[in-house]
Amino acid sequence: MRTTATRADLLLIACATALIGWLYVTLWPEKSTPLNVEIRSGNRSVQTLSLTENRQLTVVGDRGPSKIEVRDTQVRFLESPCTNKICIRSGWLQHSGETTACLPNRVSLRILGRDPRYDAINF
Amino acid sequence: MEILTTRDDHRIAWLTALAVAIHLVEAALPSPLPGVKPGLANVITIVVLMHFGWRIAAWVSLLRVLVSGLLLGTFLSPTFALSLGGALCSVAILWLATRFKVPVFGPIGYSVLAALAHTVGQFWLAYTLFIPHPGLLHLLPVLLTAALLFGVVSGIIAGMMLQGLVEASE
Repeated sequence: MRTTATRADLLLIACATALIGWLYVTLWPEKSTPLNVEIRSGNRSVQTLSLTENRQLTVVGDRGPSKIEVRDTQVRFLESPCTNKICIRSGWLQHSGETTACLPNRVSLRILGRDPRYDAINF
Repeated sequence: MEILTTRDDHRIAWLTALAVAIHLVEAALPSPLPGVKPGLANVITIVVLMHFGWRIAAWVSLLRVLVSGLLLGTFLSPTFALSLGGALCSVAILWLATRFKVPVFGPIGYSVLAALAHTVGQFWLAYTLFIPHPGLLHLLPVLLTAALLFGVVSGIIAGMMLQGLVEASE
């Protein structure tokens, strides 16, 4: 009975290493499908923008214009005619499912995911 | 009524007890990543496989999972399902690997095969039953890397144990 490594052992380890290396290459770079952001005002969807395009735009809500900025695959409220500025302070959104809203102005942003079935998943 | 026990039964019981002890000690160790642990109980499976054959190794491996599950309180829980799935896969691959007329693999080969099969089986179960999320796939290469490394380490330890057994019997 051999108790040290046989040739088959070494071959197996080499094959396994190659296979795992290949798995890293194929599974790691996420094929990031560009995400979209949905802008709503009141109870209707105003616009759906791609996060890949940098731009600023103004959406008119109940109280006035809200300024929204899209930059570097992120989106945020820049200005809003509300008192608390919660929408602005919530900062940049970039992951699918993330949401922020200016409730007084009734304008909201939501990043649309690939799989919109869940708001959040917890394990 | 007296239950007749064979020599094999006693061997299986002793070796299973040893494997269970290792399994329990390992369960108490913290793990940096869920699903990554040394799997040193695998050492016993490999030693048994090479010393007594596949049948006893399969018994020891599956009984270890059952008894450890009972002792840790995870019996029939998802953790137990994953543990059992992994053990079944590694026992299956060891069956295949021992079908050669002349033994091809040494302890390291068997150990690596068992560790990789264990991880793949467990991962497949976790993916299909519990967390069918594509994000989980990112974890697979990491888990397999750990399995390969720990498989080699377990194999070396198993080889040393077998060497000791050979010398002790001479």
